[in-house]
Amino acid sequence: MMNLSKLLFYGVVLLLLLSCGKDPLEPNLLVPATVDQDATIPHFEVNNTRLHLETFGNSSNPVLIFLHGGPGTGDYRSFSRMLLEYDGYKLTDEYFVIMYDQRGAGLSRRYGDVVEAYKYSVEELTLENYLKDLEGIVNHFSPDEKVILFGHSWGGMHAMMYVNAHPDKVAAVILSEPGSFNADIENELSLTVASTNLLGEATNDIFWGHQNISPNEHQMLDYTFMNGFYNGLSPEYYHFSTTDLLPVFRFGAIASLNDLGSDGMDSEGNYTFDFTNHLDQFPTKVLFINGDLNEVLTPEYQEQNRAFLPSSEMKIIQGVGHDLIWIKPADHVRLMKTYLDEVL
Amino acid sequence: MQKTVLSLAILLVFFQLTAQTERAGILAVNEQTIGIATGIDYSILPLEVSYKRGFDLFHYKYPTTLGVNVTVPLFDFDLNDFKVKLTSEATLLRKGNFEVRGGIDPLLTRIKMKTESMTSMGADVHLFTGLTNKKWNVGLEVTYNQIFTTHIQHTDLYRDLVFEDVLDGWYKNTASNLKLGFVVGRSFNKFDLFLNGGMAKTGKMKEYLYVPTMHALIGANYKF
Repeated sequence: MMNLSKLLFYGVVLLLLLSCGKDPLEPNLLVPATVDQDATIPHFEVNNTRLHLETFGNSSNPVLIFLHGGPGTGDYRSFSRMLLEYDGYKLTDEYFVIMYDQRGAGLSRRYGDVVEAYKYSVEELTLENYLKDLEGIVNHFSPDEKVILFGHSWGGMHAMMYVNAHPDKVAAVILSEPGSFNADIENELSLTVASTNLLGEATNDIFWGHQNISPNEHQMLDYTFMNGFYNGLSPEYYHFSTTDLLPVFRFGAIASLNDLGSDGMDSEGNYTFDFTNHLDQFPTKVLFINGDLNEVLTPEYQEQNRAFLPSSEMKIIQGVGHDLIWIKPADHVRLMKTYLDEVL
Repeated sequence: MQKTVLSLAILLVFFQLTAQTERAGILAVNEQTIGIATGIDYSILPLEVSYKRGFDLFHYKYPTTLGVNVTVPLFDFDLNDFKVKLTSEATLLRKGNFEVRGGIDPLLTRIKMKTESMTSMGADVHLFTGLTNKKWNVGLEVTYNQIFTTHIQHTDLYRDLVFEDVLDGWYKNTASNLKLGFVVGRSFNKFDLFLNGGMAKTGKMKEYLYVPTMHALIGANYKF
């Protein structure tokens, strides 16, 4: 019995020693702090939330608002190259640029929990709130003048949600590989796992890594999502660059799992949204930009969206997939300048 | 390699030899086994190699099995990904053929990815409840896994793309996993075959990026 007692004692001591270490949930250890955890991060209070938001350029210029992809899986860091100078021109020469991380994404406020997210039922992460946040930003920064919207992927859908609600408040729209404008189009998209290699190293790495990190809380789930994305689990059909990867401030995992939320989809995951019922009140020409590699959001697919915008124009950038905003920022800035010079 | 492991496991089903141990799946004192297993267990088709031996510990009325398991994911085989587990198991309750067995298995698991490498220390606590006789071993098994501490070392890729100021070092209580499922074992002369499977849950996560929320292992042990 003496031996057993000693064994138990050493076991307890060992457990105590092994439990030493940093708390993985602490901000700025594994994942960066959000605006709620670090007051020095530039932020903006709107619609009962706090968003990570920055402005660039002269506030007397027309307002140009960037809307990132997602929900949750992107943030405005992906737009940072769009602020650089190309051929002697940068967007801030002519526009007051606003970039922000949508609620639940990037360094903006986190919402919900893991269980709710799987039911698309996080109370605060709804289309209504995404729209109200943007309405608040527009009303604050450009109360009297129309704004210009740039949206990538889900951000393109977000832009059209705003245009559909406020066609009289938008001067121009640039959509870089936007998602669907309504549920009929989105439900037809075949986003399958067919191109994911279940027997590949990436899948097995993430699976194996569950033994090291469990996604119990926001921080750990965000961390796990980032591991998944950067270790090769993003769908191949989007053709992201493998040598110049799209950066993020943080993956908003809950916002991503929650997708469009309870007013954009049903509990089974079928989409129900419609951003098209007032688009006939928006006659302004809209610029579509697409890469040629994306196998899902192709120029042909965009024809379904463009059917609601008869005066739209499509520009193709060669040799790039869904990360075209990061890989081809100069092309974007050039196309935007030409387009905005025409429509404004 | 995977095909070899599977073929071997299937062939072993057809070994019908005569001698029996007292209880299927339980080692007598000084009895030893080496074994292999594969299936789905935090990896798709991992290779698990094990060694076990029966001991008379603390004059306990039933033999205690101690051993070691080494598991590696097979696809894109990389020695940076592995798990080493010191296994233990003893009968806690026996009434006729009904038996409750359990054990605590300290473990070390490591993974190296493009964004970071992680080395974790923790333990599995497992409990089997079921029926055993000379040939069969059938029941339910629950395994709770707790990682006490993990050393995380990030790469430049993570610092460049996500968080420049990420802190490397030891992090406490980073993971807990739960497995619940059935176990079926059949003992032959020199071989034990086993199959187990069921649900696997990591944290609160239901599913993510095509990673199965299940486990299933088929394996064989050679006794000597």
